[in-house]
Amino acid sequence: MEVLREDQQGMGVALHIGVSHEPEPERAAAEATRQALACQETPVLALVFGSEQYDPVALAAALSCELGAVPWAGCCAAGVIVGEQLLWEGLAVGVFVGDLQAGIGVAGPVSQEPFQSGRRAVEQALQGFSAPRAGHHRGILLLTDAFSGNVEHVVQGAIREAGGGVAWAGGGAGDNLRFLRTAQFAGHAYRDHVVAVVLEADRPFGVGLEHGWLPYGPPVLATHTRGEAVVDLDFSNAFGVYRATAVRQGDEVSREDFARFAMFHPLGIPCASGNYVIRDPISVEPDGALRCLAEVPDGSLLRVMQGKPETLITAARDAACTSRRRAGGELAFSLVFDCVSRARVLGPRILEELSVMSQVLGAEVPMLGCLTFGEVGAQGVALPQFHNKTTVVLSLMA
Amino acid sequence: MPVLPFCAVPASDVQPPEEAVSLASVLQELTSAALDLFDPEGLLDDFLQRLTLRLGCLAALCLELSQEGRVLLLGSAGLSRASRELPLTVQVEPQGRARLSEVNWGALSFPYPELTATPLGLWQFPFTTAPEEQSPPAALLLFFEPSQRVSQQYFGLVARLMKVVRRALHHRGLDVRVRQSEQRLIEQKRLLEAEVVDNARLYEEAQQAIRIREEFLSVAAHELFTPLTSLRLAAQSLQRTPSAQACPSRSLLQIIDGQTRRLSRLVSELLDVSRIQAGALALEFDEIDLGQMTQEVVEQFGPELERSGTPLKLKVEPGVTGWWDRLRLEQVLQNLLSNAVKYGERKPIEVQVKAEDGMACLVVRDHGMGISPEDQARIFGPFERAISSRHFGGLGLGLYIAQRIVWQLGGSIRLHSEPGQGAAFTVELPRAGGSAQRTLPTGPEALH
Repeated sequence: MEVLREDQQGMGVALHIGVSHEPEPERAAAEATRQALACQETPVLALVFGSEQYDPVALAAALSCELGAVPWAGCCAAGVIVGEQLLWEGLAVGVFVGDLQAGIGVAGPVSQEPFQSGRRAVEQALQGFSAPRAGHHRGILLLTDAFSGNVEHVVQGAIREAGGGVAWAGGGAGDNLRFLRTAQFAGHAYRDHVVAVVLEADRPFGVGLEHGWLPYGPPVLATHTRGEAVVDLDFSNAFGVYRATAVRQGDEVSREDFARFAMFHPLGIPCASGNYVIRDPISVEPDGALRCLAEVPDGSLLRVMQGKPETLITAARDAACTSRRRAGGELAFSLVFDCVSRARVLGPRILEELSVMSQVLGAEVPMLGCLTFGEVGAQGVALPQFHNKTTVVLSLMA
Repeated sequence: MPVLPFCAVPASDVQPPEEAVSLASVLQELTSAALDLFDPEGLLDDFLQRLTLRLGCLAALCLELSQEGRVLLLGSAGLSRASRELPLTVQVEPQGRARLSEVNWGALSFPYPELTATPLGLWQFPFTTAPEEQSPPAALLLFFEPSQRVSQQYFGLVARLMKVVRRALHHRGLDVRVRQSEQRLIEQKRLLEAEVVDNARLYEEAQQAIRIREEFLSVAAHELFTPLTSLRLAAQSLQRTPSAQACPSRSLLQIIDGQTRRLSRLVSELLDVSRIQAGALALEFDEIDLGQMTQEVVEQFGPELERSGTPLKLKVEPGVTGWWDRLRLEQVLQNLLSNAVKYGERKPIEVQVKAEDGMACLVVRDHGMGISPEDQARIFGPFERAISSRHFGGLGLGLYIAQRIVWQLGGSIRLHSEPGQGAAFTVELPRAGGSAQRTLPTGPEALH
């Protein structure tokens, strides 16, 4: 855990971003870091997102070398967001400067103890922070391995440590839907871990979270779940019910093309707000159970959802809008965690989504983020949870 | 903390079908979560966290009011670990304790930073955590950001859920008490089992000690008996030589003879104990006239009776015969007579032989100090005596050996005594012989 306190009060907060398309980790780290540190201001923290092409250990070593004493964290991702750009291959280094306090924690293995990993990572990141000062605000980023463990439990563990009243954002490190392995960074490269980054500032953070998915099928009851798999819906085989739902809408889905169809038709869990928490079914198990990216509560009513590019882009704009509104004014920076599957659904229009968000946040506002494998955040001012196929935007007032 | 009653959205403002689906889904999931609380492993914090997530609250607190008016945090969601560790020092107004429905939980000032950032809306649901009428009041408090949209129907949903939660908590209270009782029983059982194991170990150690002692006695008695016999024979030979008759040391030879005789008797007793305890006391049966045998033994005791000045009256019924081991039966009578002389305080001793109900009966009665009731049970044990060994010699084996011989002959030995009135030992023997050998006691009662 590392905490740096910036003593230059009243100087504001800024995020300087450096980018590199170099395929070699050393050269990419050198180029992106040089750009990010060109501002000559004292760095508080560096946030790093790299595409999956880089060897994580080599990249971490190169970044540590380039960043020196600057504490840094991040993860690998299917794509890196820098403003309106989406880098399918490349590295982005964002350096925070100004009146900001930061702490980093890392814990694992999330595959063995997801709840405790989430709790310990936040506990570590909060070491060195005293009780929140009056007029100060906190944001927490969770960057976790979403392939290994129950990410919902990671988030619950993190909440149990830090509580509500915090702006939560983040997501699962990704590898462009190959579902092999991911890397998390906290000064070093980790696998099967969760990284927590705590930010504290004297101005408010604002978080917006939206997805744009709309009901497609009728409500069905999850009558048997097995961890992250939905075994039965309405007391019948889950895949059978899912397929029947598609048939009623004039569509067809088989086991073979399930992944393609499910990409556009996730499951939604209704909330009291009338909104839905999205669960992404990624495969059909031999017994017909739908394996999702995160846990589906047993006994909950689900709906098969559908998304159209327009609704998804509108939702992203709304997320940016909410984030800006909650931050309360001109923004110092925005961090974006956008589900990788949205990029697949939107195709080239993903750039349109980024552009819309950038316009809402402010063309001059530095925007950094990545395509994630599941997202962390809350709808409104509430406790966060793990979402799928969703856009989360965290902004800090300038 | 600025807290206001949370204003929910009227149900009519929401699209009915969507609202119904959401309501049903949230109800389904949270009912399942509430039912998990019946499981002793279920955590109230987990239920509150799911409730908070599904309703979109900022935080949930479950509070209880103690008899002293202190507010206790039973569970929470949305509070950091640091906040949960903060002491709750808030007090409820006195009238709140009198009427549960009037406790204004929202008026409490909490120390939690999570609840101080913005004005918050509040829903409160009073309940009790135990079925008793006097159980302390409790409440679930849900904190919302005022801009959060939640339908009024969810208030009813939470109120209904709290009925399940209340029942679960009642059940858990009972369950905890049952488990505590079970734990106590298990603990007591464990202690008893440990005690049994300990007793068994002590018993085994005691048995081992006895085996060692008996082995020692057996070996020691055998090793002592041979040289003592040689010594005694040598002393008697010296006494019989003509020169010894006039020798001034003749009296010394008599002392040596007397003491070796006494030592030989003691060692013989030890050997007998060793044989008895090893079950190796061999008997040789022959037809014996008990009256005649008794007369002969009494005659042998003549010098001792004379020396002690004790008169003896013998009353023998003729024809009391049976199949017994002569030497062992003589030994029984010698032991009884020896005790009568020793403890008879020179008062007359009566010896009687008679036949009674087909049994041969031998009675040795003295009129000495007698034996107290509490000593009567133990004097048949080995190395036991009614009077301290400082006052009377011997090993305390005579009655033990006598009883075991009588038992092995198929008879019994009884004692009747009152302190200061003397003692009467009655030996009853089957006249048919010792085939009906009495079963010897085993187990702890055989421990000596």
